[in-house]
Amino acid sequence: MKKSRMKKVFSNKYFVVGLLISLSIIICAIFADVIALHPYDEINLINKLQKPSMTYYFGTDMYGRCVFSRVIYGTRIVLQVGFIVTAIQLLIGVTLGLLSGYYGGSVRRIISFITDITWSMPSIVMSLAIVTILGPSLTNVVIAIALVGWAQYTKIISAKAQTLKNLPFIDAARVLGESDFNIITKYILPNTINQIIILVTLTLPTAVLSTSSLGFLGLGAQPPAPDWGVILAEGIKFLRPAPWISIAPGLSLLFVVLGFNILGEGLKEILDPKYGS
Amino acid sequence: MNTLLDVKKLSIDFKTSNGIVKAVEDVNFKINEKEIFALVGESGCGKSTIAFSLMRLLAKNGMIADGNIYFKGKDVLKLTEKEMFSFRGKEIGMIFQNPLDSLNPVMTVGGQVLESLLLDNITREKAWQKVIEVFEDVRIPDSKERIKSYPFELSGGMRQRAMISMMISRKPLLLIADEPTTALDVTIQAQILKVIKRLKDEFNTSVLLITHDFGVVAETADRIGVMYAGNLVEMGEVFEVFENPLHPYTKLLMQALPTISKKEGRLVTIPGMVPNLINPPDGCRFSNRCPQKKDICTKIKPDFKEYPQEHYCSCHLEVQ
Repeated sequence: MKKSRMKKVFSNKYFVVGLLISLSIIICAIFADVIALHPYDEINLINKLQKPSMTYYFGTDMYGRCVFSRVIYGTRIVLQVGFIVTAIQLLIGVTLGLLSGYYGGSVRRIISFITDITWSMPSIVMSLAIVTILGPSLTNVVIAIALVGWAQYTKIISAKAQTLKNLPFIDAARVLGESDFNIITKYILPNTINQIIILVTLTLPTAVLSTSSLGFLGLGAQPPAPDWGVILAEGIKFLRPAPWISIAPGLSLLFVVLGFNILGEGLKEILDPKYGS
Repeated sequence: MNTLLDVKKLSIDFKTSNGIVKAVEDVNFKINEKEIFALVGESGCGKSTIAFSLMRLLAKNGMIADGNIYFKGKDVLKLTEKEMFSFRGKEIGMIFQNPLDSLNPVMTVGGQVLESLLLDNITREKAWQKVIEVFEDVRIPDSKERIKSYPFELSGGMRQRAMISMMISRKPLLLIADEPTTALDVTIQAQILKVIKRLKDEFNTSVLLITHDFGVVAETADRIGVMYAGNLVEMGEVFEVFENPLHPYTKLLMQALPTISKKEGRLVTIPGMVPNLINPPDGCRFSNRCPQKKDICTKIKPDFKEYPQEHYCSCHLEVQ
């Protein structure tokens, strides 16, 4: 039974393609030292603004640093930020969503008030404000993006929890003598997994994009950190003579965002208990 | 016979934006050990409300306005919230009308029964063994394989059995069956009723059967209570009530039952509407539809009096 389920899982094209892309990014991050040709901050002014070649796959930038190596090391920042931000958002958003949806009444009113306030602020402006107060650094960027983006989890999980709690199986659980905590964690939460996964696949790429945006604006990771946004910003000034500096991190971003989205699509299909039967 | 459940003068109110709905008023009944007691009545007459109130699981706007509920002599309404958690499921179980929605769609049916068993602090291994046992108790074939099934993989009858097994897994003394067969076809109905009757015979479980199907009542119940608009209007042994109904509402209900032997084409109906329970009429709540209405009926609420053969009825029968 288990084997056939595995087979079904791997016959899902979305899942396989998404998994391959995501794995390739994770491998790049873990083995960056091996894959990269040069240290990401090795300056070699003689070879500045070199075209892509066999020694420099993606060419070099204005300091002669290897763009390929910088992009590879950049995956570490991308993954770190993506996962930490998503984890914080999940924790805040899902917890508040479950509480507001399950208890309703004034709990719901208070939580949706806070959510609405967070929701109504333009995320990048809000992150800018937080980073300006806390000072530009990658940690502060993580905090800023996480604090801005949890609201959509709360909204969607709350709505879902509200429909779920009126279903007879929640009554059944109550009749059996389950506590509120057990009902929320064992009956409501597992039934929101689909929503959570869709949200994760939406917020993870958004988090990556926001980090890069803040990096691009000079408020995130600071040079010479190989943040993709930073690399993009540096390349802008040389867009005509050396477009590869900006194209490489730009395409990488596209690749990552696409990969996570496809993976999410596949996971969504697989996690449905009706899948494949 | 010992009394298991004793409901005294139970009244339940619901607060709504239009006013207070007196959903249940002054209801008295007893359920003995090893007995199937049926509560019948039309939709909205308060049957399910009573069932949920027994476990103190009324909706947030509902409250028990008056009365007492004694279970094995204990006053249920005086238990703390914490005591209620071990009371529910352990002392009283409840099965619902719609077997699909009553099971967690993302958990295997065995896993759900396991969850309920684990509330008793037993080891997982023992619990799994018990799961297989209760599945066999409710006659689920191939129980070792079925415990791994998800609800959507089972038929309606199987789901209802899984639901029953979940609710009887901790061997409650009273099982409330809230229209357990409404969503099922007749063959499966018969099987489920058989399962419920066997619970009574083998495990001495009492059953509060909530239904609007007199066929089901005649098939399974020992005693019957007839409800109308939040009042219990008649109560007694099933055959006594069927043979000799006292309350005009029960009489009309009996006439409204379709039978094969009757040749007439049209079904008998009771004219009129159920009164609004926000401002129920003074006196008898059935008075506006009653063919035997007297002056007193609209003024004084009849008492729930005892008649021969342990037959109870609330009607001004003797007033001419």
